[in-house]
Amino acid sequence: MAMTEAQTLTIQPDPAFVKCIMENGGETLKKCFQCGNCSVVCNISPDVSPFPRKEMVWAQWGLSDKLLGNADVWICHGCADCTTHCPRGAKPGDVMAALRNISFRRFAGFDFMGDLLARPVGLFWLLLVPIVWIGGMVAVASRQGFMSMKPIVFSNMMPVPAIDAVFLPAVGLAVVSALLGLARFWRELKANSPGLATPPGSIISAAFAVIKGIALHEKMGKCQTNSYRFSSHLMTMYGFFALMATTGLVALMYWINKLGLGPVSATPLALSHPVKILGNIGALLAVTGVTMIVARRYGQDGEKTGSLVYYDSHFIFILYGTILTGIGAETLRLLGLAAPAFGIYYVHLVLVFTLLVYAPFSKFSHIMYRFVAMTYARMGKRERPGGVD
Amino acid sequence: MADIKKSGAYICSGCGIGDSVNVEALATVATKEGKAALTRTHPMLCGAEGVALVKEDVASGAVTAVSIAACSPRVCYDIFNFGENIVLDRIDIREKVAWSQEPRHMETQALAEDYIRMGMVKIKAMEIPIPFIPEEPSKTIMVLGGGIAGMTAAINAAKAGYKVELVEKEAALGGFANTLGMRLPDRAPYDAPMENDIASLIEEVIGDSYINVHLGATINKISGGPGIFDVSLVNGANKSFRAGAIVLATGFKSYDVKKLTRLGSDLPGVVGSVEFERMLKEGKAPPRRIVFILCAGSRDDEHLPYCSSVCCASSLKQAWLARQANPEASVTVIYRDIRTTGNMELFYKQVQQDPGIFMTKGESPVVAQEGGELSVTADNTLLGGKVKFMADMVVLATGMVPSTLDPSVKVDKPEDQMQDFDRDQVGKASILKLDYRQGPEVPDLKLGFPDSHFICFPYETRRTGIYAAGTVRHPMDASVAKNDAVGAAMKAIQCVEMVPRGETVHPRAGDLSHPEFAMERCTQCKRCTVECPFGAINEDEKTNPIPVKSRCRRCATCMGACPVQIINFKNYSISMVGAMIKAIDMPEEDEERPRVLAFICENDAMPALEMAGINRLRINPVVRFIPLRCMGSLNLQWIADALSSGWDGIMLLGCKHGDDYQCHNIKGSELATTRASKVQETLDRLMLESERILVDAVQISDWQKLPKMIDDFVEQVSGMEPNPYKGF
Repeated sequence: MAMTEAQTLTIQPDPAFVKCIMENGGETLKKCFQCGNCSVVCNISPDVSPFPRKEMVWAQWGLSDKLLGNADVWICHGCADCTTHCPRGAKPGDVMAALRNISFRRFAGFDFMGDLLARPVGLFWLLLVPIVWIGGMVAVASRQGFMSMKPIVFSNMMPVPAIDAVFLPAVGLAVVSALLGLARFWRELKANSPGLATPPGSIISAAFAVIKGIALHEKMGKCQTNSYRFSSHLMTMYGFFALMATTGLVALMYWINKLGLGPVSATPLALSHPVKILGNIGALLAVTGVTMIVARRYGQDGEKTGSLVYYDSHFIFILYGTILTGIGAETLRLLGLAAPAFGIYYVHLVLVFTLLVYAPFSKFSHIMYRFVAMTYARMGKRERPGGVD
Repeated sequence: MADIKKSGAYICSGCGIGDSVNVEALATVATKEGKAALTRTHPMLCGAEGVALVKEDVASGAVTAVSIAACSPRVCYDIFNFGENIVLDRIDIREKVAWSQEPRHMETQALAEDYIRMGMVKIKAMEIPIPFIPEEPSKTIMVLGGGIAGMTAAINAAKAGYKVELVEKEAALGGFANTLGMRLPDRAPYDAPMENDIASLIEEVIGDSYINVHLGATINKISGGPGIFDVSLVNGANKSFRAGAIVLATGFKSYDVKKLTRLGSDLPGVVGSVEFERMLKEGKAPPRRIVFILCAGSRDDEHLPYCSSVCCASSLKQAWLARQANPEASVTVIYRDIRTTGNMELFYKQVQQDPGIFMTKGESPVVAQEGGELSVTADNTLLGGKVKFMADMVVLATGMVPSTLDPSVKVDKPEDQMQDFDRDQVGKASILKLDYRQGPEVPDLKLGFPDSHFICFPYETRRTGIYAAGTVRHPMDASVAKNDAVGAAMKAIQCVEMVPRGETVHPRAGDLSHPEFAMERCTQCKRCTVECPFGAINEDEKTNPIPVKSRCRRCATCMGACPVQIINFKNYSISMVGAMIKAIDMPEEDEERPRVLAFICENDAMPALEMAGINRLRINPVVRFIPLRCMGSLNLQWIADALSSGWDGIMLLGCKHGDDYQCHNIKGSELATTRASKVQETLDRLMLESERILVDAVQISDWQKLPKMIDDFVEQVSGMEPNPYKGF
């Protein structure tokens, strides 16, 4: 990413944006005295125009365009090596995280959603929607006396069509706003990160290379201060994908039966069923990964993982809650405890809704922004010489 | 002192001396050739028994002069101290022989014996100095300048019990601090500017009965010297008084902002930091967009080549105050490097926290007018390349110029008649008006600050008894200036205490000897009055030298300068060194044992030589060293003496000279170099090679290189024919 050396840039410092970064997790921003240690110690920053030093400089001047339309903010994996080595306590890792928080909020649009996700009070309204909607659907679609039916079958309370009726439109909305956000982000990238190689590399091969890198967690593997992240995040990610796949397969199996395309197993699946095995392995991976994250970030050494802001806690605990209630519902079902099982299943559905539908406005959206930014950078051949992008 | 000198030679065999040389043979040399009245050897002369031995001989009157042949005079000086009435000399046969030569070698023995011979003729020539005590010396300290440094010096001198005459040219005390609204923090937690409390310092001065304040006063004339400075003032009453020492604390002037046209100093809205400070102090609200340019005219060869060390912190203070005065203001600071030294770094950290203060490194800023606004363009910023900022006001942080400078001052003399000291007076503000032959003001270093070595001789100017403190000495902030003032006051106290005892203050603190002029043979050639590095010698109308001895630092540069050898000290004279040169046992021409004489500065080169010995490096055994008070005391007579006595080569090992000189007496080694270059003539007259003389600079840290330096010269000399004057 070449700097525009020849041009004279007129700078208008923007104190309001500086304040914004400070309020969104970059509180220590102004302590920076621009020594550049952060860029030197970073194991994933490219040699040319490295981050996070330049972001620290821009951030102190409040140069929002440069900061938000900047792929580097997302190439940073927040491992906090820079924060550990900062001689001034400016915590560049926190500032980069703050910029990401501001990014997904700004690109996703629907400002009221951003406001609701920025503060704990918003959680009330965010939860109220699925509580009422799913509660309503249960009231309408549940089979009479589902509580006393044996064996315990969750679809007696919330039949699959009802679930789909709730989730398909809601997730559809989420996908639309996510795509809108990505489109805005891509535009900003092109406008402000003029680092796209000429001619740019193929988007397909760049995307594949990025997927491979993510699959192997190559970048997180380079983190020193928080090396725990490699295994915990890897487990969480694969666990989550396995659970998503399970959910998808179950829905698929239901509709195959429903549409008479052939008899396949129906829920509840036997514990030996491959899909059930996939789901249970996924649940175990995810619960282990997130537990590690929670233990580390909220434990004694939590300081070292970067300062926690509400965005982090919201995402971590909604995800953790979703996984724990899923496992809890399954366990109680197998134990035959009907009332607690149905109760916790209801909570599970509420949390799944909260996790997925609000994803474009929450930290969950890091999945897509990071993927897009890394692909963009890869197309621009912005990678570490001799290293893996 | 007895009329007939009875020299005792005391030879120590401890510390390896006895293993290296035959001490009994040395004793024989001392007795037979050196004509010692008494010669004793001892295995540990510095022990209680050894010292008692000497003391008994002194008490019984068996000896009146003591020559200790043992370790270096730089050690055990407290042990070998036999009272004021005993002539004492130290012959170093430990560092210079036992520790740096091959043991039991013929040349080692010859070297030690030569040192005994030289030592014995030296002590014979040495006499006890009779101190020079000026008439009616004063212990009053005059402080020139009533700013922070001057007032602090006055208060501290007064606290120590000395009367102070404080002279301030303005109508009020306070100096530059009077122009400040708030000041930089000087105590923990260093996180915000503090109230300007100069008034309390002023009150303290005014309330001090030991301090006599002269306001609106300047110097009319200062004559005399340390202990006897006769000062007359220009003010309403035309007062005059006598002072023993002077603290020069006249402060600084801010660099003239009008010279910074590249930085838009002629544009409306562009102000210097002094003017901006005034705005803040008067409570004028600063505009919304302010850009500070640090290093304005500093670290810039066209203006001030140096860093003034305070502009960064004071600009940060102003940025902070501007934000307080106008919370809507956004302040941009363009710096080259933020230099907030010491605890001021904490203040910098605090200012950084303000979201309305923006900082960037930036080079070659240019200020221009665009429409009704100002623009500041800077290159190579942290923001990437060239960056422009729009501003309503630009503040140029200007550096400090010592108040002793006034570029308009010229010296009314044709260039070819100018002496070095005349050139020193060019561009000097008229402050001290000294009645000195070498001019009225204190000489300076290249940057215009009065001479004052940062490490070795802080506060010392090139005029004895005049001590610089505060920003006139070098740029500094107020809290450093306060420390500085205490240091200078201490030096002034040292001066007023020592001068009445006839002692010199610096760098030969406590020395009682002083130059004596055999005026009946003086040729009025003016060399001594011109060459004295301290302006200690005045002249009468017939150009006879008039030494003002309390100004003298006893470096003996005058002794070295005098072509008719009429200037000598009781214990350091041309004939004494001449006798040492001639005292050695010079081998015959056909023996192929060359001899090299090395004059060595006792301040740096000699310690370096001794360090080589302490580290057991081998020094070439054909060289005999004669320590000099300063290379400046080298008299050309000695070169002639050495060459005519058959020495094959001569080394002059002095201090580095030039802009970064290390000479304790500023010009000594430089003068010696000039004199040595004139020896060329002498050599031609004697039909000798000029390469027989080497002038070199040795720093104390050069001890590792010194042996090779000496070997190279000996090798060069050995390649020549032996000195044909051997045996004459």
